[in-house]
Amino acid sequence: MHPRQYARGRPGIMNMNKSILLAASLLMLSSLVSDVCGQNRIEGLVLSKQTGEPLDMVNVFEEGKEGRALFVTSDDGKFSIDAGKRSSVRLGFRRVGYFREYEVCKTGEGPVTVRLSEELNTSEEILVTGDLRAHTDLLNTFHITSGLNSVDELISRASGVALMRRGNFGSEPVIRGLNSDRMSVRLDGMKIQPACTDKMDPVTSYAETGNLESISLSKGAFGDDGCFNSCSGIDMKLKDARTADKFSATGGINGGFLSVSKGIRLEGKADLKSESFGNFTNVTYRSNQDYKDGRGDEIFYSGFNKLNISNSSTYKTGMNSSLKADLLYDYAWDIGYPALTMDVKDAEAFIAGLQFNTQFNGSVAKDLESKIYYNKITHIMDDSQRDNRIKMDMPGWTNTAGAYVSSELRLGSADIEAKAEGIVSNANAEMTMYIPGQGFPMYMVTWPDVRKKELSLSMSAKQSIGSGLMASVRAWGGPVNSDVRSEVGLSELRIFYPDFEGTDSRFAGGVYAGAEALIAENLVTSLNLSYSVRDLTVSEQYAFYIFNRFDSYDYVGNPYLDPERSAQLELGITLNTGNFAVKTSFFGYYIGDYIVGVVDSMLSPMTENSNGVKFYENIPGATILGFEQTADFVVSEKLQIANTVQYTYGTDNDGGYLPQMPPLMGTLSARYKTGIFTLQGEGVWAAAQNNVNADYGETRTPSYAVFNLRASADMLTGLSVDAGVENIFDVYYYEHLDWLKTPRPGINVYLSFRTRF
Amino acid sequence: MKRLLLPAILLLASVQFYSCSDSDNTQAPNNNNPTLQLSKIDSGFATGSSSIVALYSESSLKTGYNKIYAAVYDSATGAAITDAHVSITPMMDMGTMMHSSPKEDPTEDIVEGKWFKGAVVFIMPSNSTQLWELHVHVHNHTAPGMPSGEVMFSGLSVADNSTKYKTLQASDGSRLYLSYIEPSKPIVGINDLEFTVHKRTDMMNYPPDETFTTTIYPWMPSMGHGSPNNVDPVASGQGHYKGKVNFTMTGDWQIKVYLQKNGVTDSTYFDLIF
Repeated sequence: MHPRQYARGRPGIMNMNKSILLAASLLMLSSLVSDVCGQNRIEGLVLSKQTGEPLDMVNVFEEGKEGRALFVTSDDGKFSIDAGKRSSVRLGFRRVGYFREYEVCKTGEGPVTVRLSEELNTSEEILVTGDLRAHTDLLNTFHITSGLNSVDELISRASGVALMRRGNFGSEPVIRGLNSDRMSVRLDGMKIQPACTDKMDPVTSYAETGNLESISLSKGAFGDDGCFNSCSGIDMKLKDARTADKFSATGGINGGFLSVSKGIRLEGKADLKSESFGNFTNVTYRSNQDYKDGRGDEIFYSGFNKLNISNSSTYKTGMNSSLKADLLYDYAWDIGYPALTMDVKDAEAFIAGLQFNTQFNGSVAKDLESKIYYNKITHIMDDSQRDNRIKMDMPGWTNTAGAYVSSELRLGSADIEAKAEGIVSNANAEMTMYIPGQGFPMYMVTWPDVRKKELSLSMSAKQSIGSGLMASVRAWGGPVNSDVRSEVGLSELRIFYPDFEGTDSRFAGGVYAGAEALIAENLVTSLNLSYSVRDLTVSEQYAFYIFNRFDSYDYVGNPYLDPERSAQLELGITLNTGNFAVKTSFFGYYIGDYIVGVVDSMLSPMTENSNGVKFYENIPGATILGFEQTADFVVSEKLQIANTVQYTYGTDNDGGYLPQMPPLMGTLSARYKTGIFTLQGEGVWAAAQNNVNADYGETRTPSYAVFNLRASADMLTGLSVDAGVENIFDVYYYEHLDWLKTPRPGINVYLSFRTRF
Repeated sequence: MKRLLLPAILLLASVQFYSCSDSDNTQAPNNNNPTLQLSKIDSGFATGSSSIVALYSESSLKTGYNKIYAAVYDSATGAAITDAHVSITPMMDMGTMMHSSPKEDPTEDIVEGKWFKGAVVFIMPSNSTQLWELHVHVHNHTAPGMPSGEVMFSGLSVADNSTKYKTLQASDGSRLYLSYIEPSKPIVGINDLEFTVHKRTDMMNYPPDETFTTTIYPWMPSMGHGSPNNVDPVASGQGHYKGKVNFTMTGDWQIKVYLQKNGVTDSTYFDLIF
């Protein structure tokens, strides 16, 4: 399945709040106030969809007359306009920082409630299992997938994202050329430390689309919440159990088959709601055999199996407070990685979180969220299926415990958000090598049981200035201490760093300032600036002869590395005329003390066939420039078109190209909808990447274009069926970020269904 | 006095620490002051010296470097004698010829109260008919008249230990004997490396040879790789060469040793598995 394509299907719906102004669902709630006012007046209330609070400074206008506000809301969010002699008027609602909404309002029907969706100018949100309706969110629906995708494939459809593939499982999302070392990926705010030294298990591999509500992306250190101590971030929001006034028990079974890997996906879910208690359970099973590429060749070692069980419970502890408990167990086995010399026998994650939320009616503090969590990962990498002379067992273990308290406050007209967090994590990995039939196992520690203690304080403020400008600032940071607890591991590191005591203390954090302005009718610009210092990864500091198959070097960490310092700038321009919306973002990142592997030619490699040994070192700096653009066009009620394009250009201080940078790439999708049927065609393409880094073993990657065709039908109430053909012309292709140029799947026919009861 | 007190306490404390941790932790740093765990070789009267000699080693005797501990007791009172001069001469009677082997006579430094510590490098293993002898000469400074005498311990079995002991016909024609001493308990990481070099001048004399410049190269034969940042051993007295050897993992290692002199290099290697 191609990551850049926009698929059409049922369970997965994606929303890109950032990219579009048409977005956000619109809910009509009836009769909030029973009192009906004058016959020719339209009255109502504008609320924030996210917080439910009344919104001030919302311009209410009649469609087509956007220049003339009929009403500007004040603190109570209420509006009232004269409809003249008409019985209904199509009204528009506009406010900086929120997506524009239109609503047909009738006189004499009582007050309407309009909910505006916050436009997070610094992050992008993908709604995974939300219930958005197609007509309210155009671009979103182009992301609707076949329902068979993994979380990483879903994320890859967002603009600015590319996938680094080592196999058909657990691909590593790369945001604007920043890989997982420079990015923080969390699950419902919980930090998870992957346990594989070879990056086979990005955090996204432990979740399933079935238990996620949404995924928010921060494409820089601009994010409200997602980026933490990194340059960029992803936070996967778990689907919460909800309470309801009336008891209900619902469930569903989804399933699907895809031909290219003889893959199946089965999902069952149950949802219980009552007045004070809600419970949501999801079980997802996926199994795929080796897939075939565009030449019909089988890609060996590309199959996998995965079972994911999650349960979320919510208990209302009072009028304004609730307790939520999440438990997630993920087990994947026999996972092949065609681009590596190793596979994974088992990968197991146990994730638990307990969260307490309170809302206040006070004038300053609005809410308080506290959470404690724990997770434990066991990752057993081995090469028992491979024909290696020397066999390697490379297990890794991590566990993370964390707690945070966050609160939203309102001071004057500014929204303040404060958060304090503490995390303790351990990362431990080892390698045992042996030659079958010969004695002496060879043992070494590759991650020396590193215990990290992080403390972080974060404070952000957002303030509207007039009705055309919104400014926000954020500062965050705290100490990060690490402690090497394995005596063997410390002894190993002292071979290179004889004076290293085994402990390290440093600071990670940053500042951000951004503004968004309505500069003309239908035209919004935004400017974001940030400076951040990120923490180092366990490998960058403490790796011991960890083999990288891409450049075939053994990597050794460096406890004395300087942290990367990233200065980032982003300029956004959004034009929206109603039927046509185009959003463009330009970005420039300068990363001082950029960390790369530098060859030490004096050392002999440990791994057989390795080219040598590289140490993680700081180079003076690197620059990443690029842009993304998304456009959607409503041609008619039945025909809609969407286009995306993105480009990243990275160089180091000597003018050499940075490795693993995505080339110019994009998608063009068109959809025709009639009755219960929807037909969607997609073209997904990438230009050749000629800007390569030979030191990292890169060679040029040719361009490609693949085409997909999807159809779906809402058969009956509670049953929908999707079918499609991906890579119709069976093109043999790979993306520049795919390791060892391992080809992506060839022609794939899929069929999936979704039932609800 | 106070100046000396603190280091002394620290030293004692560290000795205590190591002796505690040594028994249950094989990864403890190399230490030179273990609680002695010795096995007895034999004991007997050093005739004429008014003393009894009890001879011990750290393990059963083997080719290469063996630390030898001698305790000397007053033959009348049984009290340990520490003021004495002890020397050891190994001897092998092969029927047609006799030869000795390299050795280090105990110095006057007494170890742990009573032990005279020396060493013997056995240059060949024993067999059923050809066994080693150790002649221990005692010059008893404690007894009246400072008598001296000798005791012979014969019939000693010496096992083959070819991985830690190498003989070498050097390019200049001399016969060299290399004996591995440290690391006796290798760890993953940095290890102190120590070996001795002796040469043969005649069948009775095997003096230490410190005239070489040495280079080492640790190597994992099964994997085909070396290890970084080793420190080449340099001569540090009595034919002992000391350096650092690094192991990046457990397993089977070779330490290749290159001996250079006058532009000529000879080489051999030690094997170890841990």
